[in-house]
Amino acid sequence: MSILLIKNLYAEVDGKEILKGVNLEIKGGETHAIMGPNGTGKSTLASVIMGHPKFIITKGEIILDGKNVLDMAVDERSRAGIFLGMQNPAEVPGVTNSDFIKTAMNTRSEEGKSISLFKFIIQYDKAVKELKMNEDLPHRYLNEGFSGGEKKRNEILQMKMLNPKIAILDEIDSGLDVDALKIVGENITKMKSPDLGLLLITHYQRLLEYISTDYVHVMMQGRIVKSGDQKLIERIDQEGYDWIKEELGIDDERVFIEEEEERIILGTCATKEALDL
Amino acid sequence: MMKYNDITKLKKNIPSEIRKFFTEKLNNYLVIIDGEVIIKNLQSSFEKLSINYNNVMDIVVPRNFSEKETLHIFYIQENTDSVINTKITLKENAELNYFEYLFSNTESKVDFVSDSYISENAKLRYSGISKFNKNSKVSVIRNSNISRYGSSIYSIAEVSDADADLRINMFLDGDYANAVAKTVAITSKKQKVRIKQIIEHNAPDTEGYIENYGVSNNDSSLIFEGVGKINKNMKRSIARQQNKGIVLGENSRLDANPLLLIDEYDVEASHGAAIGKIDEEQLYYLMSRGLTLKNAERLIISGFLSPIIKQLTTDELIEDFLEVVKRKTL
Amino acid sequence: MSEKTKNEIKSIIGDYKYGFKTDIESVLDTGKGINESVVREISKIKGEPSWMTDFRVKSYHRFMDVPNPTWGPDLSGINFDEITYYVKPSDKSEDSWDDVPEEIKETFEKLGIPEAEQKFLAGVSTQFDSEVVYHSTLKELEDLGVIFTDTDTALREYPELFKEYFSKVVPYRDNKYAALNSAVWSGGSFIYVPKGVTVKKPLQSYFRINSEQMGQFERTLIIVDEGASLNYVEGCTAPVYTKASLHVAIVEIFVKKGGHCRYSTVQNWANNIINLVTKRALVEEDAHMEWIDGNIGSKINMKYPACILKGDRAKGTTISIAFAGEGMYQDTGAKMIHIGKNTTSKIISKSISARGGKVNYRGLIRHDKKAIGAKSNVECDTIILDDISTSDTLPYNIVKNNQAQVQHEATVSKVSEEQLFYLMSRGLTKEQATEMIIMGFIEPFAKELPMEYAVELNQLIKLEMEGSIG
Repeated sequence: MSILLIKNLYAEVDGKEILKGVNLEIKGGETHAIMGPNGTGKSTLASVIMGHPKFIITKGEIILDGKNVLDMAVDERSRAGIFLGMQNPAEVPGVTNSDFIKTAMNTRSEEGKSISLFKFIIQYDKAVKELKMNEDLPHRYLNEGFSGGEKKRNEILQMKMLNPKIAILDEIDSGLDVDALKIVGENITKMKSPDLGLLLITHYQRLLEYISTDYVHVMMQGRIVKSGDQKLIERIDQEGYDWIKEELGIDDERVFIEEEEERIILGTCATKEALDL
Repeated sequence: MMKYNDITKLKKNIPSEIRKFFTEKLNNYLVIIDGEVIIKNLQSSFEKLSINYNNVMDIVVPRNFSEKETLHIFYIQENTDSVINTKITLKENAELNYFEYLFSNTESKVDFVSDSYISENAKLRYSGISKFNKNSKVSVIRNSNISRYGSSIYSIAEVSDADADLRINMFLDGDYANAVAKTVAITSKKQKVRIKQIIEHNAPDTEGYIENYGVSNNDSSLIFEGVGKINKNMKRSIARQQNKGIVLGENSRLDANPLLLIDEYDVEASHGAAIGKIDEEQLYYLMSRGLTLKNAERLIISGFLSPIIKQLTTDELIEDFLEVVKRKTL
Repeated sequence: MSEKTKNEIKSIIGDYKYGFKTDIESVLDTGKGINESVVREISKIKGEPSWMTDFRVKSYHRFMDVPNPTWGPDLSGINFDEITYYVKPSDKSEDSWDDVPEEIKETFEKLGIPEAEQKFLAGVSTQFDSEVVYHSTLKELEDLGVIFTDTDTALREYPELFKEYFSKVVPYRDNKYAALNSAVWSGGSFIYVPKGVTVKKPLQSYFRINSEQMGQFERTLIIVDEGASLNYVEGCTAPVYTKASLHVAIVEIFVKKGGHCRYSTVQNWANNIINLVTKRALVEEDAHMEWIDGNIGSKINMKYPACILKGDRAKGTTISIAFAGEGMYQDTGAKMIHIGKNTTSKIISKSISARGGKVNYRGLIRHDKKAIGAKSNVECDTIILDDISTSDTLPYNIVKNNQAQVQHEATVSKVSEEQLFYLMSRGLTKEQATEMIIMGFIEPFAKELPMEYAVELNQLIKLEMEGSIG
């Protein structure tokens, strides 16, 4: 059983502090959910655990089974058993899904012992079917031209193949219709075991209807301000977050304001401009 | 302050093509004919600017100056060959909207040089139209030097009947500085126009954007050459370039040569060029709503050239511009 | 070779896979340097007709008169007096692999030529220094009337066909190095595919420079007649010497009405070779020419495969990659000249620079006055792998009629941090992740190659990338 320990974590990006003292402990077999409105630092926490180079840790610790995660490079964290299902996974043209995931799996096996092609194909096909994805998936390029829902399912598929100890799923429910949400929810539930600690990040309740959770945390202003169980979800579902803000005397729950200024996009189509006149 | 209706009493005659602009709707302008200031009409807010004209037009915008209105300068060349020099200096945190109208109606040689110096966190929006007589020989060079956090946006329309050589050279000298060089050009008859823009990144975290919109008609030739140059160590800089061209005449020529010179790896650079005929789908769509082919074409072209129209402050200036577009695309 | 020289070589090239040299006695060479009598001597040794001798001499004078190009890489370092322009390694071209001298055979076996031939290729022509030493064509091709021979033999055996096309699309006056090749050319491939004949399997030729200070000046002439189809594959390797060698080639291709020709190259010169190649195809009505052009290695490489789209509805495609590693300067691109109505062209170029290499894209799209309704599409992307490497993108787009469509898109960037983060978050090391992204980046090129070449290409790129990710 693995334990991921986050102690008094502070992080910033471009000089702006986004995480302001996060404390969290996730054990194998547990399912945690972090909820909260947009812009409160939830996704930042996920990226920081995975080691995105954009963020700078200014204080605090992340420990996985006694090992200092902050000392590890992104790939070392992955091989140590951390998985992040991303909100917006990158597209990598020219690299097929199957080549990619096979390479990722081989990094986990001992030197010279790569997974047999036969075994891989069987395992991959099974996962594709379970997630009700198209059979041409292995030959398509990694996330390129995928719909939002396909990308999310592809993340879960990779999680199945890589078999992590701690999995963080960052807004895995956004962009999914009800059917897809059900498939994803069922697949995640099926993966649950005493060897897997799950952290779900979401601001909707509907995902949690498909995955039972043991602990629920609410994040505001860059830290966890409230924790509870299933009942907390129900109350948020009915009343929203205002009561929590009131209870804690929080005025603005956000840690950063989305940048509103967007540069004029080049290559705007002459058609539109012509018709604008 | 001189009123617009006093124009009749001026010692030099303003050509009728220009005169029409000076209605009560136009504020804040200077008119210079053959090197002599004929009209100076400025609102009080612009009195904080230092504007001196002594062979060189020297404009200094003081620290923290900010004004939404545009300063217009009309340079009219009637008799002499001349060298026109403009120098615009924006002090720290200043902001200026500047517009210039270059005009000649006689055969002459025009050498126009303008330099701008953008201090820290200052912002210059510089727009210009040039409309020179077909027998003129024209060279226009515009330089802009931009310090950190400074911003310099050039939008230039070249609608002369003359053979012309236009250059815009922008130097991003301080970090986080940004520059935009936007050019719209229409060539007709036997005109030859060459437009070259360079944005050079001399500091990290700088951004440079080049946009060109061109139409070539009749036997004319129009050449765009844009250069985005990112020097060594100018990390995280962005250089982008977009060229769009419509070739109207059977014997017209339009070239777009978007160059990228990159000596640093941590950058984003891209360029695109699209040259072709007027989109048939667009024509079809407009004509299906009852427009004639010519009108549909003209509407599409004016839409295509809209980046500059947005910069024009009065209806008279817009009308004047559309009139040229119409004439040159017939 | 002394230990010192060996170390010197190693310091220059690292472990170049094909950097072995074969010790063989040349049968004949013309000595170092070039002058009119060297040129006449080459022609005489080959027993050529007088028109060819005259052509060579006239080309030689042109070469002497024209200066180096004023743009692109600096070529002033080439010492024309230090180069041997003609070396003949064995007495005659062999018809059976068993007759080829042992040393040359070993060299080619190291390159894997015979197996490749057995397994997959319809015909192989290999060139060792200046003369083609081994040559074979499947009998079925001969029965169809396909000619696949070396260019010298073609001049002897098919003089009329040869004269009709030779130098017709790349004139000797074209550029300084076209003139040089025209003066001293030797070897190369000659292919004629008769009307309506489809050559199903790829034909292959492998060039190899062996002698030190040796220029290689092969000349390839391909004619694909009306409605015919050809897929030709050329590969290049060279062993490594401390002084730079020169490779100056000409490839002329004629694709007649309704014909199709695909010319694939994976060039892997050692990085002391200066490679200056003029490749041009004349494409007639409804015909299609494809250049698949891979450029890895060489000290300086200048190569811009061109299609002259002369016939109506003619089509030109160039898909290329260039990789510039340490000490390399790749100045490559493509040209598409639209002359016929409704002609179309497509260019896809992928460039990578690493460890201080410089990689340029230089391209030309021209739509002439009569090329009504022509369309062009250009995509060129560059990845710069580290902070000591550079890249310029220099496209020229010229449109001279009002019914054209030209689209050009280009990007230059480093390896995307988001992509790296994503791949590494699944456990790939930075090296693996970068390699995977680069392989994906060049995939549009690699997928056009025959399997063996694609595999080879991947290995070459991996080799080049070693040590460039830190």
